[in-house]
Amino acid sequence: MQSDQALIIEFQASSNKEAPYTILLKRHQQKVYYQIKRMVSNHMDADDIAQQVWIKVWNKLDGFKMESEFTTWIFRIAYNETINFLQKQQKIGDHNVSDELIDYEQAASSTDHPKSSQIQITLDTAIQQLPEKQRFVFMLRYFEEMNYEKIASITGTTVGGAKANYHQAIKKMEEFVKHA
Amino acid sequence: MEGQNNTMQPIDNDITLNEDKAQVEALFGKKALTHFEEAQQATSDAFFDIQAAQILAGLKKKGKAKIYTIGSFRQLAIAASFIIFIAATYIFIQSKKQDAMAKVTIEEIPTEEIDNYLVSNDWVNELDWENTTLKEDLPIDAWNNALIKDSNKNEKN
Repeated sequence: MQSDQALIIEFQASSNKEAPYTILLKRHQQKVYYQIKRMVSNHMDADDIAQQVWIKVWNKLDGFKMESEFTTWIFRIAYNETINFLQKQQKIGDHNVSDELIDYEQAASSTDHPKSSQIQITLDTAIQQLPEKQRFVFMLRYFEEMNYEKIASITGTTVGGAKANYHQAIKKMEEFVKHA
Repeated sequence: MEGQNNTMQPIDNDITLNEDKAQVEALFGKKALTHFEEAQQATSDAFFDIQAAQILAGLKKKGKAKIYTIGSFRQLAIAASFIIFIAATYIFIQSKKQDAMAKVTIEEIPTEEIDNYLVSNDWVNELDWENTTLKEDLPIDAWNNALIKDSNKNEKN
């Protein structure tokens, strides 16, 4: 199996860019989509953002200098695209936690999962009320199990800043649970 | 020693990770967090194949038909504005020239020029001058129009 680095070199050197790009896309598209979906909760929005991310990857991969891992770079693009999307939604007043909860419940009930319990709804609401950056850091740390160095590179902060974001997120969720 | 350091790092990192995860699990329980993640990952089996195909098709389409980006659209708009400005200026100058010409009265035209005109335009001589009413200060265009009108009237008669 070719490494990401080898595929990027092939992409940058070759006129037939589609083959290495397709391998990279298929290798990483799930992780990118899941991270975006965790942030926006809505499948259609997550799909749109993910597609935008991959179009940006195509457009910018020639200039990628491999100073970081490909996954760090692609998650950074995903982070920027997702934050932009959420901020635009907030500006037009379209961001609605209750809608996201409905999406979440529908997704849960459409699968073989047990029916959403109260704790499930509390968890989802607690996550949704977090500021975007803290939420993104929380998702990367808990679900993607990334180390703080990588999270810091993705979110454009220091390692200490990333750690602080994660612990602030936990603190806020704790407060939320207390008052729920 | 170096080898030990290399193996120490991930273990240390894992301990931190587990501690971090345990904090959240203490709040909501691992089961709720697992269900949350499963809900995020609930997609149809073909979703990722379809998504990949859509992305690749979109890129191919973009490669074939050049889509104007905001940057080039802006350049296009500037070029169009410039062309419109030049055209508007030209039309404005031309209309001013025509206005100036229209204001020339018959008295301002030298007699020689009128004679030359009459010699080279025989039809003018055939006009019924006595029945042609002209005002002295009539602009040259209006004068011409009146002559043509009278000429047509005579032809009909």
